[in-house]
Amino acid sequence: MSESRSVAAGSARFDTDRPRRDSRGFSALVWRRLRREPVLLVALGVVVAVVLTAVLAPRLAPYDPTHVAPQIRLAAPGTAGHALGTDELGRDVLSRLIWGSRISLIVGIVPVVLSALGGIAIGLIAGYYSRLDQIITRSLDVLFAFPAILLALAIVSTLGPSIYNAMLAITVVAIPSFARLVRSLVLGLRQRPFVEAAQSLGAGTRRILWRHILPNTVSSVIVYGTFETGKTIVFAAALSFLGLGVQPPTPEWGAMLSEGRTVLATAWQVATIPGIAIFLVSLSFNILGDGLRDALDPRQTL
Amino acid sequence: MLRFGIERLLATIPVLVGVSIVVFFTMKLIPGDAAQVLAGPQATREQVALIRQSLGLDRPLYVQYATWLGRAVRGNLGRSIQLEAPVTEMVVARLRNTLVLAIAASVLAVAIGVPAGILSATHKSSIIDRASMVVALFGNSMPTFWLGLVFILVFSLHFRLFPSNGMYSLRGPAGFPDLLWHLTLPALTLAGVPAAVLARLTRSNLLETLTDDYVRTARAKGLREPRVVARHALGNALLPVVTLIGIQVGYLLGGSILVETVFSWPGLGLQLYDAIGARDLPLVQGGVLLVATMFVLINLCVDIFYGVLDPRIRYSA
Repeated sequence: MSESRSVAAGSARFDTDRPRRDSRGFSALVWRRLRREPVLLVALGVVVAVVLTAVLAPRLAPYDPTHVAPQIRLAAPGTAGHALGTDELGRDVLSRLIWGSRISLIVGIVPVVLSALGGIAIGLIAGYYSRLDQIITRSLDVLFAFPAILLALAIVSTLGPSIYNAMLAITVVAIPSFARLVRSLVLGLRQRPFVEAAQSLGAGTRRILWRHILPNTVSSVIVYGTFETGKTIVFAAALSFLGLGVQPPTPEWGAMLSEGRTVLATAWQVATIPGIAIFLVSLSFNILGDGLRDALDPRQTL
Repeated sequence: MLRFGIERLLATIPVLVGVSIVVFFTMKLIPGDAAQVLAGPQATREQVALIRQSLGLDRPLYVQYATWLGRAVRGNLGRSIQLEAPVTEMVVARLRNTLVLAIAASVLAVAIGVPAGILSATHKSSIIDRASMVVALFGNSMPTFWLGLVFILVFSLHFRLFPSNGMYSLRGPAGFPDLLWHLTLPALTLAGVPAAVLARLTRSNLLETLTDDYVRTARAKGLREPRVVARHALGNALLPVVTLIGIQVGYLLGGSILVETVFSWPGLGLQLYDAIGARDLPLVQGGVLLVATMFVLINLCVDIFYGVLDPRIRYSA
């Protein structure tokens, strides 16, 4: 029991011995859950709205996000034509926020997808091939020995600050937890009768991993990935805040916040508004993660 | 118990070696000629050659690693490029300030998170439970650096209650009260996320423990609920929380870079931030190595402490 509790170190707990439902059951379950809980619907709404904003940024933004207009610098929110005011260079905060959603979403989601794929591959190998398990687990332990932001920071500061290097660093940092999750799932699944049945029927390793084990890890990975996306959006913004991610004048929420720090006393909106955006999106992903987990495993609802 | 401690200690050594390998090879990721990059674009060819030679960059990789590790173990982390001072002295000088901040934040996080989690679990589905879980969810999603800015905006700039930067006042008495006064906002900021995580974990563990058979037995004996919780359930429910506290200390060490940057707290994090800006890689490397090593050692202590608390761990390991 204490094993499964220590896995709960994040905020999610994962179950290893549940067969996956077929995909129709999966979406039906998620939908049923969503309908019952308005908070979840709102969270989903926020995520959808931000995705749409990102896609439609060129149409939605009233101004060019990098257009400098010194004569109207630090305009207060509500100024005619600038609903959220302007920043220290007179750029429209709303336009930068809208364009920033593109980069913030990409930087929040792409590394999660990549690290999930990497983690699944490593986790499958470690969980299924006992001989490789030791060495893989030990290597992961080493990566766990770094506070995430510190390792990312070391990688990006060496490679040079850029959005691609930041995404690479976030991916590297996130792989171990996905790998550990998948490994623990595989260890449980390996003992299950349906895997043993497949083995005794003479199914090859590749078939067992691909057809029997992998599909059963997907729902947990999706739940974890949802939480991880919420975390990564904040994390990526933190790297940009430290000057290691997106470079000026590209609009990105973390970078906007960092630029706004210098004018905090005179124009609070420049730094606070992008922070609210980061917070809302991250919060929505966390709520979605909670909802997904509960929908996929009612027994874990406390 | 001694055997358990020694085993844990020995198991730490490969991790530390791994950490050193990761730090070393991360620094080898410099694109192009490392000596050229470190020397900067204006450096003459002689300067570049000097740096290459002094850092041993002209020698085979494993020799470089062995030399570097040998020096690091003896406390020599090289010289800062920007300030031309020994890295070890620079990071150790700043480490104290980071520890002050991290320890204050840990204490706050435990003092806020654990009671909140206990109250939520014992009053499940009440207003207290809902409110603290909403706050915990918010705390979990909040960008630390943004929270810090909001604190500055509200408590420093608007109400003028607390200073927005530094560790001591430039003028006036620089004693312990002054330190506490400067510490309040950064420590609260840094404590936000761990407090939220601790509250959620404490709650879910306690709820789970409260359904255990021995708790039912305690209730059946006629014990009052507070005593059931305090004497019977809490001990077992808090065990995993101890592990989490260890993990969170690592988070605090890492997260302090953001908080120190926001509040200009003169710690290791701010130093790393400055070093990154100046591309002072030996300093970055030294700082990262130091923090990661401390993180490993703190987790070792937590592991051993865990073994002291829970005999089952000792025998199963």
